[in-house]
Amino acid sequence: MLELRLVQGSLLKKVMDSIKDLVNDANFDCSATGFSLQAMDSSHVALVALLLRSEGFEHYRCDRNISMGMNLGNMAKMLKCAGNDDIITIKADDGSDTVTFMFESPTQDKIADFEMKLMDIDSEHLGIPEAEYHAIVRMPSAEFARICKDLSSIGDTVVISVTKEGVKFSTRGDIGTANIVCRQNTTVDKPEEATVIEMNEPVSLTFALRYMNSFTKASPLSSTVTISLSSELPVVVEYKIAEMGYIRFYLAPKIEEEEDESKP
Amino acid sequence: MAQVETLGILDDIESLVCDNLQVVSYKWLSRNFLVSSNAAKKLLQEFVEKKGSDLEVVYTLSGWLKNNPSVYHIRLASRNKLGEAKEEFDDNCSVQVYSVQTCIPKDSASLWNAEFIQAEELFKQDPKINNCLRDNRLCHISNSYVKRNVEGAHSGSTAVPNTDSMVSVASKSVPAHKSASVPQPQQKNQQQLNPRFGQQSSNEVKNVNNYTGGHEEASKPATEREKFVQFPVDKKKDLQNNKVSSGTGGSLASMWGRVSAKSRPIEAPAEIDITKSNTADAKACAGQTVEEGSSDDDDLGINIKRSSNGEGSRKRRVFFDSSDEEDDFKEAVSLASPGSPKLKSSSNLDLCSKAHSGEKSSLDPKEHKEKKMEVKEENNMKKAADPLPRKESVVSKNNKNGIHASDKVVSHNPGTNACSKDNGTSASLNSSRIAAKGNNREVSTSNQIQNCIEEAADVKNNVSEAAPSSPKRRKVLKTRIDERGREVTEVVWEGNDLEGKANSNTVKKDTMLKAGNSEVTTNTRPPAPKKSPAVGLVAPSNPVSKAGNKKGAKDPKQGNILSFFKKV
Repeated sequence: MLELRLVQGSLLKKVMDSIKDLVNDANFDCSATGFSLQAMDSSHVALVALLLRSEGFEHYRCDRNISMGMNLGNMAKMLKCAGNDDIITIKADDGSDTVTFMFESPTQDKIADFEMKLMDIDSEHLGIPEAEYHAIVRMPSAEFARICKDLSSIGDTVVISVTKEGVKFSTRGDIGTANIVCRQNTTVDKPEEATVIEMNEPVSLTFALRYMNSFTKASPLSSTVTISLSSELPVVVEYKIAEMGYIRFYLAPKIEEEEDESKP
Repeated sequence: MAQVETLGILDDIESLVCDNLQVVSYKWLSRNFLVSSNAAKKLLQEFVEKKGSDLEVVYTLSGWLKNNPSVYHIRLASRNKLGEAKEEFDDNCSVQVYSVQTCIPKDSASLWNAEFIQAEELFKQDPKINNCLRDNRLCHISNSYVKRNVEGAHSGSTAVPNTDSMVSVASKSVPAHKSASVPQPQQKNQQQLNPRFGQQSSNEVKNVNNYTGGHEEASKPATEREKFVQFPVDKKKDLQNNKVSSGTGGSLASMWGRVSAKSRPIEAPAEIDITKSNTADAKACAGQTVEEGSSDDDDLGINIKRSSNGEGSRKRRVFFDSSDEEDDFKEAVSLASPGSPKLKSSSNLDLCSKAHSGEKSSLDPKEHKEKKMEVKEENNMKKAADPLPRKESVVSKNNKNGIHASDKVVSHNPGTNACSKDNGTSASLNSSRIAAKGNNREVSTSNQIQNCIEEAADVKNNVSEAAPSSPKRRKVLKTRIDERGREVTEVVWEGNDLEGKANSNTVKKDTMLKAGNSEVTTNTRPPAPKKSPAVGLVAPSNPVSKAGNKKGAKDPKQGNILSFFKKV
């Protein structure tokens, strides 16, 4: 038996909107600690990790660990039917092959039940090791989204380099090149507007912009985004979900353009 | 008892700082909670020790300077610059907490904005009320020359600072309101002023009414807000303002905040007035306003700033939601044939795509494989046949050979290893071709395939006849970025214009596709990632355009997340 009641239903809608284009099908894992998801995109280049801790739900009941395979597109369709102020309850019975989404309007005068079929998904759960990152950049999520959007109109890839001076996003394309440098800036009116760079050593990595752009669809979830870079690791783009958890996107970098002679 | 109170205050500070994002300075604290300045500093110190780790702290340093010991210097420094600042002082300088806030404000004016408003409110209070600013009870410095007249009728000098503080706020926002806000301070001249305002405009009269009505201390915060709200609404001519200001004489002369050049001359008297004022705080206010004279907006009030900020960010967000990006994405998906990631590889540069116009193919990987098998022979033919348009066609040939080798023709290999890069490219080419063929199949236009082959054969012939670097290229990939930011690859067959046109419609591929390739590369992966040489890839695959190059280069270079994280 599973019953999760989320007062801020819009949160779940936003979460779905941010990942449904990246991942088609995924298993939602529910345990006593929370509601989580880990999935790779179809090309195995990017990985999404979502965690909504049980404390964030008004009511959280999960008798035993359960994994529900859902088509995210379908789930998003159903959640679209929920109003932004609605309270969303996710319910599933043991052994059933469906999950029920219940939407209650804030005034309780409208209650909608949507039942969705579950599916069996062979998902490979990946172990993500804790890592020390060479550079961690925290910046306003809107700013980051803007940068990715702008750069993607110039080129396909973005080179993110972090140095003492700041973080540089650069791209090149048919029509020319673009460089955007964000300096550390902590003197702002609101803490979420700050750009904070913690750097242990300089990093420069190349990523496909189209993935970055799809990550930024999570911007409505959080006013800041944290980008963690290490030269041998996928970048982590993390959006905190207020008081509940996070959504993290991992993206494998493009292989460096060094000449590699040792070729099979 | 005292401790209990202190705790309460600490909690209050926390909520003010964290929830209201207010800058809490010791001055504000002392006036708000009626504790002495020193006590307020201690409270802040305590607060910083307890919960200051996430907050920004501004310290006051005071002492004699090292390089100029005759100067007693007081300065503010944020936490991370504290050490630096200390260096400039002689050994024993005092360090006290000045204020606590969530972040160091962009504009230092907001550091004292809160206390400024507070001072202004205190001065606005009924003169009969003996508040902490009027009797200066929180100050440890007493000045015997200063005489305070707290019992109602203020002497001229004390009256002035009051209006001053009032007016400066008003004047900062919109000059027009000076007139309206002036009557607020309850002073003798209010009566004189009011009739005057009445004549000006109905608008103003309204304001006056509001304010006069709101004079009671209780409603002060409200009037404060009103002010802010109304400022932007009414606009009056500067001329009028000036008249008013000059008409109201000395006290109004202090409206130097926003009035720009016209009222500049008036500044001097204003300052003088202020210096006459007794309370140190009044001076402070004056000082602020003077400093900010030119950048009045800064001081306009946190409220206004915030709200505008909020709007700004919201705008952006809205942008996201409604941006055409999403559309792009969807379209891309549909174009990209979500079914089989392998097909996506065709994005690279399917030679055959020309043949099947309108083929957006939704192939299953399995089907795809079958087709692969079937098409193998054709592949070989083709590979051998179509030398991509390249400058170094020799190299490209080698590549092809390499590809074949994987399929059947080991004997072709000899020259292959020449360029590792090229191999990489060829691999991707290979897969893309296969995919393309798969597409053909599905269309079940075997004719097309034949065409393909024939064409390829032609190409072969051409190539063999032509010099390696000859411009005879059968197929040209043109990649450009369209107005929506997608990459569009057009495959154009030279000398085959009709077909080329048809294809150009078909072969639109999104950038999305490229990224999708990595799965394809999983099959061909081992070679792919090692083919790091971007140059090699780029050059041979798409001589036509940079974007094309990127595409070609992208897929083999894109790393795989599985190579970083292990399955559990």
